Amino acid sequence: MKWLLRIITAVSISFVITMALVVAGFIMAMFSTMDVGVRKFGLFGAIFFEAHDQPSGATALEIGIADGTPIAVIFCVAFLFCLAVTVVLEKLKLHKKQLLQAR
Amino acid sequence: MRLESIVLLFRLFWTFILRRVLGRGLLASRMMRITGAFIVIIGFAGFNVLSYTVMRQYLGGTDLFEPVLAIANVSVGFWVLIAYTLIRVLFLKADELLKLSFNLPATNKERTLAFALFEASVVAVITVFVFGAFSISTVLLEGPAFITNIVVSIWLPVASMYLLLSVAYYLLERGLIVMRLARLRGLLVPMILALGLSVLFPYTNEQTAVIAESFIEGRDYVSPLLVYSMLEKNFGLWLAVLIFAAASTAIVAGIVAAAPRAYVPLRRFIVVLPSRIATWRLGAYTLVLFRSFETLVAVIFVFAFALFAWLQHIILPPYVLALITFQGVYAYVNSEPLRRMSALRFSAWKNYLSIVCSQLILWVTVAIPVVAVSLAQGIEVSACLPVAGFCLSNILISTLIGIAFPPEKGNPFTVLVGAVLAIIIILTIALGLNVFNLKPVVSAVVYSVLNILVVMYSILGMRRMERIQRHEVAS
Repeated sequence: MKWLLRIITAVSISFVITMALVVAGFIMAMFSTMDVGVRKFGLFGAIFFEAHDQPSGATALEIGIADGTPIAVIFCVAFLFCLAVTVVLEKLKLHKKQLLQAR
Repeated sequence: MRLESIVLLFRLFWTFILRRVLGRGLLASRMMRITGAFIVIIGFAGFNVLSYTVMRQYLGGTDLFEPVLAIANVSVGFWVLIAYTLIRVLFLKADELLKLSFNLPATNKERTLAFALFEASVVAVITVFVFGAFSISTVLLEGPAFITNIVVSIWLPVASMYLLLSVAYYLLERGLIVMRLARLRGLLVPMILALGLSVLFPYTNEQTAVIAESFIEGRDYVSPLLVYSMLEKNFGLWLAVLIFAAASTAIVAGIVAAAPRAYVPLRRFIVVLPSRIATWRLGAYTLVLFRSFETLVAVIFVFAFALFAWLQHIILPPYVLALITFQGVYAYVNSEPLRRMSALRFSAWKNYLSIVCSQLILWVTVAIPVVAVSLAQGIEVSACLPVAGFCLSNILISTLIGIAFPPEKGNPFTVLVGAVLAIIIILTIALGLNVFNLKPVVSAVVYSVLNILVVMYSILGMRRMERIQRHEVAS
């Protein structure tokens, strides 16, 4: 049960981290170009951004995922990192408890 | 009146916040405090980058900064009044915090002024966070010489406006004491401030249009609101700062004179619904929510807005109902005495269910007439359904904020910290999922899973707090 909770928490935190990086990548891709019709990529090629001219004269924006692999890798790395931090923290707490009991 | 007492009381309030508030809920763990600080710093940096890139894209290399700053300066009154309304509502709720100082040898005036100073310091922290991103990015784009413009167009008018509103508030409080209505200030003050907003909104819009017109036609725009920037332009920064200092001294003297000598406690409850339903667990929780005075204020605001929208033919889906859902922040703390009663000792998830269900009962009660008005205006039922989903999600999230950051003694600092952290995380997730262009069904599934996580963490948080109270685990 404790491990299930740890895994769910690590998944939630790594999901938020991944979303934050996706947003950062998207903003950088969006503002790195002013040209219409040029497809710009961000976050190691995972996100694309393109502005089109519509027949009515308005500019339409197209955003989306070009390649899901970098996002999946980021999520996995963040997940493993969160899990490792939890395990290390738990070990340190246990160690502190043992030291206090030994006194 | 002794200045020493004011400073001592001011320090007492901050010590209370730092020792008690940071020691309860999620912020009790050092790891979470560091994570929270990290999220706030990253969020602030994110706002800066976003503000910088947006402004560089749209305003970089143009001479549009001057009119944009003039518009910002003219609308300062409106924005500060919005912020002041929010802060007043939050600080009126913090009456309990003021009671901490009742057994100390200080006069009521000293107490009120110390509390005003405490409020100003909290407002300063929040303002730096909100206006900081805009100021930093403008200075980065236009160079350090632009700092002067920012100071005279934004910071000085904001400070003067805040001080003026404070004088007005104390005069209003005095007037209410004379009229013997001071106990109801929790209801009357927000309503008067909202009335001020409805007057100021058309004026701000009109002035914005005038500034844009004068810029296009090459005319100079003159307004009494731009007093500091006009002084700086014509005579130099020193005169603007001197006038600001003189005006602030005069207004602060006005605040000291206007601060009421007598303390009138706030009315906190209102008797609605029969007491016999309290024998039932959900009934007791429903009574706690329905009888609290803030609920009445929120309900009156929702009805007033619905009526205003109907009379003014403003056709919008009933998103105003979301106002009720923010009560969830106080739901856990307000119902805490119930959980201490041995007769109502239940497991954490049952208590959580009661907290959420009581809010749903309130929401449905208010939603029926408001949605009926919307439907009468010609809004489709399909447009009202997302509002229900949004409000349900809001109830769950605000309840989680109230559990993770329990606002002890109604202190507004915890509410603000919790809200800032929650808004940063929710915005990140919403923007991130938007990039994925998910189908509506998939989006609904993802948001449902996130809401289930919110429920799970709320119950776990409640269970942990109960164990801490029983001294089963260290806090």
